[in-house]
Amino acid sequence: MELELVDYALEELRWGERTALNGKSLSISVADLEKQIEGLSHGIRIDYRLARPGESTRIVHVLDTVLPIAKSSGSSLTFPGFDGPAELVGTGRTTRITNLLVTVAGRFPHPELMTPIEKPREGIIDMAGVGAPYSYGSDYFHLVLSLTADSSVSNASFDQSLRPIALRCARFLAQAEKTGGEPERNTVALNQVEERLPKVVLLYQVQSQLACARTFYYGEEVSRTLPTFVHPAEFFDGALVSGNYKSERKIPTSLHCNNPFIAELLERHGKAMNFLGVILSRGYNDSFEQKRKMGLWVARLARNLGADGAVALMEGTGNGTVDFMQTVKACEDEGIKTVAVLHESNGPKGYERPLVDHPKEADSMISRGNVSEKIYIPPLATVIGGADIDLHLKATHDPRLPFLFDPTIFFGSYGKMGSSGFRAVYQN
Amino acid sequence: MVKVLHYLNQFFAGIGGEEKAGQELLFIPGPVGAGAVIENELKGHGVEYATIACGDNYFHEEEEKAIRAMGAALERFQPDVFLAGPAFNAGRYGLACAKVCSWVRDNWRIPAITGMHEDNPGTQEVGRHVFVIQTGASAAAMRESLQRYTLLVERLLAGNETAVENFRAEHCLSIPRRFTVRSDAPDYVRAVNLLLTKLNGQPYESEIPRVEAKRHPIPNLTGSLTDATVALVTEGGLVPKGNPDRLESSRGSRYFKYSLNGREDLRRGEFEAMHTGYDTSTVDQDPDRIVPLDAMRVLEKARRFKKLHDYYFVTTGTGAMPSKMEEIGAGIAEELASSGIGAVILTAT
Amino acid sequence: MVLITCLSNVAAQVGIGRIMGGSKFHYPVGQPELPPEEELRWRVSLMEKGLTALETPVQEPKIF
Repeated sequence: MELELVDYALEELRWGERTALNGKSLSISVADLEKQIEGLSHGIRIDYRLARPGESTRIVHVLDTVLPIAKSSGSSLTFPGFDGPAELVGTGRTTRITNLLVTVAGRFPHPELMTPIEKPREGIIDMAGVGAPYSYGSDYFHLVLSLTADSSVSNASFDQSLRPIALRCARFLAQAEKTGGEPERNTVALNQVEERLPKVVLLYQVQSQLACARTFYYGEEVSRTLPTFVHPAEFFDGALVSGNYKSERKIPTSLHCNNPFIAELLERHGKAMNFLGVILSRGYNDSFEQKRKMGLWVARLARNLGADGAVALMEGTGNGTVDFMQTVKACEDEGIKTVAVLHESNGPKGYERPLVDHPKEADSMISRGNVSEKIYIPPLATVIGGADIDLHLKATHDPRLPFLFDPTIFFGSYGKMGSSGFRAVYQN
Repeated sequence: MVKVLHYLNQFFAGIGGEEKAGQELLFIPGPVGAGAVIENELKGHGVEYATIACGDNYFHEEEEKAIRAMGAALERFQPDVFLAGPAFNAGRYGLACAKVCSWVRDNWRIPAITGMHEDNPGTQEVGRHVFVIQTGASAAAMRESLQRYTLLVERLLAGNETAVENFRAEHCLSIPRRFTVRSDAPDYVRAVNLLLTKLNGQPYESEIPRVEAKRHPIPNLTGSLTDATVALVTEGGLVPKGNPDRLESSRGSRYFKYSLNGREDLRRGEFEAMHTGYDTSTVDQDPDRIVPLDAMRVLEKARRFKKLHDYYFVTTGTGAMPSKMEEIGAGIAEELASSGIGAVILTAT
Repeated sequence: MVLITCLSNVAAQVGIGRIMGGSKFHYPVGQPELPPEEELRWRVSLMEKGLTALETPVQEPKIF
């Protein structure tokens, strides 16, 4: 299996009469977008905005971000399963705009009908300033779709609509007419390598627990399924889509699609190791026995693949940490050396035990930093997507005023803290 | 002109002793007590000095109000440096000093300096970047302590970061806590490097230490269960419909108790679960699924134990700091113990 | 005290003496698939197990 990537990158983003990429300048026509999503947005008003890296702009109520990717060969579509019957992806050629996101922001129409756990969490993206290193997407250009549903739209309908709206826009942008300038070309493949190189798998645990906290694989919920092998190329083609609104600790759709762990392992493939591929598993199983079994199944699958070692990452926190640690333990028990990446919850003053669950087998941890440390967050000049910041159901905050809060207010912060190079250490 | 604001308790501010421990927060222009000594030492720097005084009990009982009043004082005075104490071994004072310094540092981002003895419980409340100068156990160490305060302020004013860090190493208490720093590479690079090190059989180190929880002795029943009153406690956030006491749906800040008197079971529609950590829809359909009253009544009638306690206790644990939950647990335990409760069944999600 | 929770290993790490796994994460002492009388019977037997745990002396965390 081999996937050819045809990559474009932007230096400029603006509105225009037509949607076209000229060199590194992309102009977007709102009329074009509206035509794309005709029929998908019944009862939902969309405000279209743009944001650029380094701008003093704060995007609030972010639900998901999607990378513009489109197949430029064959009959399959990127993000299989959301627009017609799913076809297998991960081969042929895919066109991408690598530093642009289609960003969905908005509030569900009937939060009062949701149980507390279903309610989406606030997630803001600060494009500059103190919050930028904590905000996933701060280093991308954004087409922001700010959605407002009228009261005739049910929560389920809103949830089911926002995904196809964003995915269609993303595909459309990737297919924009391109002139002047050559793309970068890369290949995603797991070519044969020297036998002596250690075999490594990536353990990828997603959260797919209930409505508003789901992950889709080829359009199906990853729930109560056995762990499965996924070729990295499938990730690049959008095989995994996020329906998870636990904003700070989710893996956004664009991050599933453009994951630095997968990129790093592909980079090292054939040089320092033999990257076998990805084992996708589900966290937040609802009994200890199920969590333990998920760990055992992942470990057995890794062993059957011939893995010597594994890098493990998870989406979420708390309850899901137990599934994650059971996986790490089971792999170590099967003789597979495992490094696990996780955030710490050391409390605002750094006194608390770092992890919810920490078995002795998890002896090679990589830290993403203390997610409970308070940060002084000044206002930014522009706010897109809403008039207030929801401080996780406890209060609302005027985004034009500074506030003191921990990284959980930033969209995708747990993963972003890791890729920003944050970690926690003992300090006086 | 450098502005210094100094927090003192009622005793060190000369307001009074224990009888004045309920003193509300006061703003006093100019230095008071120990502050006068520091102000005198800093004369050469052109210092404007002011004081806030607060009773130790007032701070402990009305922390939110005290902090608000303190915020107003800072707003008014606009200090460049904040001092508190020294608290020596005075526990309530040390806690207050640590908390006010942490609040000031977080919200005003100015240097915040306190001082206390290493055994002071205030050492468990120190926020990031707060300086905690090591002092002796009593006010006999006052002069030496104030010399250190002065020295640190001078080094801060000189802007000499190395000298300040040397001061920290030499004169501040060592209270290691875990904070976020920037590393030299992103997590995905470090993870792959660590794995390769491990696979090559080379020595390696985990970035996250395994920290043992503080162990408590496990009590065993003395006497028979048939003589015992049993209580139900839950972390599941179950409250009377309407949530009259406004229990939070995450990070409960308090616990509440609700009456089970006259009830044989918990009815749908009369209770609801305030909790973002689990899917509450099933227990909302039948609250006995989180607080097992109906089953306990059956066993109570069968005299399996003497009596079920009239109240169940509740908080919401999801997302909470363990230390806060310890506080809540201790509060519940104290009430139960004083009500003669011998045993508890605790449900958690 | 006996603690009923799905996250029994976390409870053991924290040093809780008597731990029971209960039903599922979202309803530790519920069995919603059963008809009401059977669910109550199940819950009574779970509580009976809990009371027996309370009567059992322990020195170290134990999962009942």
